[in-house]
Amino acid sequence: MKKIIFIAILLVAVLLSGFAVPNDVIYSEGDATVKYQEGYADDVFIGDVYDTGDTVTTGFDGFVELDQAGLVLKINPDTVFTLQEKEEQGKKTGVFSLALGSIKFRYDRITGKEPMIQTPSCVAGVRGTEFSVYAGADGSALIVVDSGLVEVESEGKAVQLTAAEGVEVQLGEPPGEKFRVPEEKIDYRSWNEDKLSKLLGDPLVSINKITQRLEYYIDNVNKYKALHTEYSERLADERKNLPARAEKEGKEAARKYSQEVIDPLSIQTFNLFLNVRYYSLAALSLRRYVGGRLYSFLKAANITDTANQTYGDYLLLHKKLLNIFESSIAPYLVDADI
Amino acid sequence: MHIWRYISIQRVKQMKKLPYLLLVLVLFASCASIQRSKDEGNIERVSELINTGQADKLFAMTELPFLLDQEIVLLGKDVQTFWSTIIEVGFKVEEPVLERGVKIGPDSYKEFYDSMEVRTFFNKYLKKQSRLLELKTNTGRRILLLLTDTLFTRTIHGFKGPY
Repeated sequence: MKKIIFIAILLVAVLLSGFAVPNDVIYSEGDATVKYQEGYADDVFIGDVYDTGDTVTTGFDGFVELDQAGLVLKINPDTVFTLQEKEEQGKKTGVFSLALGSIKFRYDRITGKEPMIQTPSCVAGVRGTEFSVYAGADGSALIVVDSGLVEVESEGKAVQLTAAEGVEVQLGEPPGEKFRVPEEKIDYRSWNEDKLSKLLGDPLVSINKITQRLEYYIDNVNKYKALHTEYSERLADERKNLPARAEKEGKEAARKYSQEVIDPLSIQTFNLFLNVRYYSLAALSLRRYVGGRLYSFLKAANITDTANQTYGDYLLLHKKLLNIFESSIAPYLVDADI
Repeated sequence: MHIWRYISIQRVKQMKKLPYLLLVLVLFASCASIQRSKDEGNIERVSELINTGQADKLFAMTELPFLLDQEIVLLGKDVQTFWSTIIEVGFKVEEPVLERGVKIGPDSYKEFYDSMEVRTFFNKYLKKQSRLLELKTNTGRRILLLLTDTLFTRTIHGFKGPY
């Protein structure tokens, strides 16, 4: 019964979590698909409107431009990008999640309510007006600012980038040293080729880094799940005691109490659950676009050489990762996420 | 009515049903053998494409998302890389023999991997007529294929092995 209620909450959360501002497709070319939060997929068309939970994937010749009330996102080829939401300091915040590929962001104006940008390795807070984010095959990220200010945070350390500055963040590490961006455009494909070589060069180091990052997400899932349980119990108690309060203090006082205490508590409880989902989906993205890709590349390369010691050791670590994922993350996913 | 007469009438009635029963059995057997030869044709075709290095044709036959062991591959370029890499490293499916061809059942996903993701993949992305084919190579190793064969198209949904 508890499981059914939990799944029901999950489904409601999936369906209710609407992005604050819709994202209109203003341009699209080449191979570009969208997977809606409800789980079905379609080609991207100009005029489509995307919302929280929707994922846009571009192929080698795909390009999509989204407009979000004053913000234009240019989604480049070979990119996987999801619109998400999480709770931050008691409020719902939009999150642009870049699993792989590159996106250029251009703001007309900064309102202070800009969505965060998340890659497998870092989170970027937007204070800038024009910048690009690249997510590599090994989970690393590269952030390059054209104008304005962007704060990049990873592993508890933050750096601020101003115009013509960039920083690279490796999976599971704090941001590296800032650097001046070269005049010529950064070539994502060659940068990513280098990341892919790194990923495959030492599979044991790669899988350990992925597992560490997964554990970071699991810690957050567990933290917010515990808080959600605590708040749910408080909410249930408050609701249970409301009739008694109405009897003792009068209907008007009970209504006021409900508006001032119970309603905000209900929103907080929902937002905490939003964070459980946010970190679960971040873990799924890491598993799919970094861990899963590593597996498929290595499997293909070693299909005739299964006696390879490094590959054998890698498979054991990968199996461990699968078990952790299945027990800690899968319970918070729904069919539509797969 | 005398009891013996009653029994003999019943026997005659049963005898009349016999040709129909035989026809049903023959039809059933021929359907099963048609299905088996379709399954055999499918494993031979996929093996032939691998053995003759036709990665592009394998990719064209593959539907996204694609299940590789327990991993759901979502990107077309990754599927392309998988087929071209196994061919580059010299992987061959020598003398494939169909061990088993079955319709997808509620627990079939466990043959690939017992997880929420693989179970969902089976429920969500496979078609009613999709089949799980198990083949054995001359080295004794096995491969599982997930395949849908309709009148005009043959689609690969998954690959597991060799194991």
